[in-house]
Amino acid sequence: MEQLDEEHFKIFGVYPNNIGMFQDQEKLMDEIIEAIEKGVPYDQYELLSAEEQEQYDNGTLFF
Amino acid sequence: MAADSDYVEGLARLAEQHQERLSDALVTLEDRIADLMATAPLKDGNLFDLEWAVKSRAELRKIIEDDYLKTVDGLIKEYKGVAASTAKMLSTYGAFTTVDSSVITQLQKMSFQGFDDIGQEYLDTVSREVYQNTLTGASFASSVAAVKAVQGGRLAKYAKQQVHDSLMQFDASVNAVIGKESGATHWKYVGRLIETTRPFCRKHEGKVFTEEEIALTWEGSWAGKASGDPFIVRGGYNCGHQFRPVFDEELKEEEVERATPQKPDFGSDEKWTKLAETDGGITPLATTVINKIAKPKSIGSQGSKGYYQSGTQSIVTPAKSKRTLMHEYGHHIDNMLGEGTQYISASRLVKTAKLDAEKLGIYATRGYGKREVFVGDSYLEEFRDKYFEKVPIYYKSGRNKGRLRGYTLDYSEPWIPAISDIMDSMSRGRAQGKFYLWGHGKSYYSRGLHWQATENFANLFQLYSQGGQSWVKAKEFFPELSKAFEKLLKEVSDGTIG
Repeated sequence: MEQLDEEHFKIFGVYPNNIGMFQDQEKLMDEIIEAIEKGVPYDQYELLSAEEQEQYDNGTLFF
Repeated sequence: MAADSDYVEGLARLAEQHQERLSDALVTLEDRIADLMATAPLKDGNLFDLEWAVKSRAELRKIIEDDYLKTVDGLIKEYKGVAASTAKMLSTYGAFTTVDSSVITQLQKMSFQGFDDIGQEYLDTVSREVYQNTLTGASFASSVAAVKAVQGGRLAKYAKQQVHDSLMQFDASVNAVIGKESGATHWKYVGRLIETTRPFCRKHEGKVFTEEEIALTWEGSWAGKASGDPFIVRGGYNCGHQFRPVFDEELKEEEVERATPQKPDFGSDEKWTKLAETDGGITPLATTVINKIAKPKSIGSQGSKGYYQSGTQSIVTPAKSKRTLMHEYGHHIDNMLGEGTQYISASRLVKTAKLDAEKLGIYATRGYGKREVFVGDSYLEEFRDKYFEKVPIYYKSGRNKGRLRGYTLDYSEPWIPAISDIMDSMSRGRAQGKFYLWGHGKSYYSRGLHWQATENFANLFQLYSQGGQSWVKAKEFFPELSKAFEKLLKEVSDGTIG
């Protein structure tokens, strides 16, 4: 995971944003690899629906 | 902690002290026997003097009396204080009678007899070794080694176990005598849960039995079971459990608890109850709390997502993850017990979490970047290395198939993720961000302090509902926080809050 994170940082200048939505490390690894391949920084926040993002922002969504 | 739990903890500590004192005495005993052997007349380095061998028995007896039996006698004299403490503990539950001092004396004599028998057996064995070695003209060195083997083997093993069991059986007798003389008809099986607790004791821990139920339950067989009266032998050799008599008033409360439905009712699809009942189910107090608190509006699944939405009081959890269900349900309870937008964890669990975090050295006042240095890193790294295993992950398809893709962390005990998640909250995402442990990460906690408290509540509820070793570990890592949490759940259970 550490290598992958560093690779992500090297490419995008930021580390993957993990907000604790799930704890499956293999799935997380898959998603970061996919994000790198697509050239889009990995951001778990973006995996939330618009409604969930709003709830997360106003502090009513707990993982 | 309840008086009976405190009491069994204290009793276990005393048993450990007694074992240490006996171990010290056995070291002296060994030295003195070696000194005695050094006085044996030798011919060409071998024993030969049968007259000396016969006479040495009297010396051996004196050494055993001086070093072993005198120590044991001192330990058993302390049993009077144990009986007084037992009576004091029971008095917190009701007006029980006390035990006659002659009964205590008799119990002490019986305890001593057990040790005396071991001492006598040891004397016979060592004397026989000395005599036989002299008869065959064995070398001095091999004779000393043979005698030491006797001492380090059976005597050390049995006497140390006897020290523990003697104390526990004495206390069990006192409990039984007081309870029966007071007319108690029900008995609670109390003890502490440790790594070596037998599955039998773990299963019956905290349960209240009638005498008939005890007789029936103790008819079975299990590893380490000792023969004899269940009230005295309890779970078997080295068992730290006791039967405590239950007072009538207390029994009424227990009956109310027993009448509580034992199935957790999540207020929606029955499948969540079924999921909660897998892997040994959930603890009775967690069930009671679930059943007392208003239900969430909905519980559903969206793949691997797991969250609680407090505005709509809805839970999203993977369909087959009991752990996530209990975690998210913990968020719901925290929300329901709070007032307005305030969560009860914010008022009840912040200080204790800080105390435990400071003690572990992982308390963070802000989130740390990956490349920054955090004072708690060494502890978190040690925790990772001790409880997690690096697992290589390979590409399963494509041109890289079979090549190493990286490593993930795996764990072997069910309590590890939630404990790790609490450490992550205490360190404001450091455990996850730097060491890839289970946690919510830095950005989750950067939104404010109450997120730490709410995550701690959810994880504690998850651990408490798992019970057994999970809760033992929670208490081990976070003693203050878990104590505050237990108190809170009991308040919900008895209706003080909620």
